[in-house]
Amino acid sequence: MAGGTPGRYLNDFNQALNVYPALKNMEYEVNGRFVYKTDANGNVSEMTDKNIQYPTPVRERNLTEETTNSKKKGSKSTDAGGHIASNEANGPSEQINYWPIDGPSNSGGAWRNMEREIKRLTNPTGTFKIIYKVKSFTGGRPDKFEVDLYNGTTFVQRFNIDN
Amino acid sequence: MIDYNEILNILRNDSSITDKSKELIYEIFFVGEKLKTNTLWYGNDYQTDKKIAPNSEVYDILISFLEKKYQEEINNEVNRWNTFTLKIQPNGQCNSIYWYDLDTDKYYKLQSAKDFPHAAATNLVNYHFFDIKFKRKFTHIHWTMEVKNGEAFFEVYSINKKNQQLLIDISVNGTQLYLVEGKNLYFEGFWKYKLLEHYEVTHNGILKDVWKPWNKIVINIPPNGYLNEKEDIEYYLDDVKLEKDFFLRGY
Repeated sequence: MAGGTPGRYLNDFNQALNVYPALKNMEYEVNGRFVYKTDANGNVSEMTDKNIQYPTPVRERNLTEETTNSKKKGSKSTDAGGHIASNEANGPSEQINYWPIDGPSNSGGAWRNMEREIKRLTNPTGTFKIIYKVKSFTGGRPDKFEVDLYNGTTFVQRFNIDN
Repeated sequence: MIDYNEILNILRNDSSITDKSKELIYEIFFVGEKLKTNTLWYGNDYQTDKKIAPNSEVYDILISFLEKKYQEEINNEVNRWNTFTLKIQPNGQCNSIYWYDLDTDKYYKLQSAKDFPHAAATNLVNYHFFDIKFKRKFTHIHWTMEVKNGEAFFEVYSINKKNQQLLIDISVNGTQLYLVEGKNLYFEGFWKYKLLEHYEVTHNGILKDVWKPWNKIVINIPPNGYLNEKEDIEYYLDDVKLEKDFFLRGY
């Protein structure tokens, strides 16, 4: 198990979480909340958000990492450096928290619909867990995602997203 | 491809289902072409009975089958469907139905329509403006989106602490490309396409009975890109500001 604390501002990003590829077949626990699992190629294949929350203010974004380094992951020119745990849900801004996600999907389509619906289904009093999985990769680019929402240990909803 | 009856046999023998004495119901809803929600539960009461995470090894086979069928029939107006419901009885008998769930379709389209200005705002701040130092110099960005004679028009200004306005040219191509209907678009083209899509669904589409007619949206975007719908979003019809009851419903 590796891990650490993500940075909040541009000048304090955690470099151990900001490399690509990550360590192979590793689990990274970040802030005691986000657990990233990597595959044999160092790609994040699964992430569990153990207790989704939407704090304010949001974490500062790392636009260079989002728009440039995510391209290393075999992304298409039409992909965004999409957050796995969203910026609004305090997702880290280091490289470990990005997948190449189809731009329209990330900006108003399937992925954003999923994020918005999860925000609606969760509430401040519950403890909601989300498991994000990549079903298959082409190079370092995910083809399909499976996102499961739990209220405590009770399953709520699955989202299947094509990328 | 595996035949549907073989898929049913695989589902009947799903070893992750521990209680074989109860009816099992699986439902998948297609939210457009790329997003599907799916749920599995015992009994016939969705609200009260315990839901189960579908066993991916088993249900992914069914999903692949349904995705292919959905793609083949997406433009079929006669047999239009967006939902598939399957009931598996304890004796193994299966009943399934393909149907069009208007309410859920309307729900997701309404959520997307409400989200439109929010998505545009975060996209402008987070993907179009790369210089974060520049971001800190404005108090907000004033973005006017207008539809005239079927065409989309934008005007974008940043406003600083001294209330000085600076016109922002969003026609400048950034690095982010958007693939829409086989065309590569940059920021301005993508959001003009999305504005016209939003106009169409709220005027002539499934939301025409919910949404008041409009032809202009004005948003005031704070530096973090997150809008407050009660303060930062205004809809207009012919320069008359509209009451917000129609799009605030549900917030």
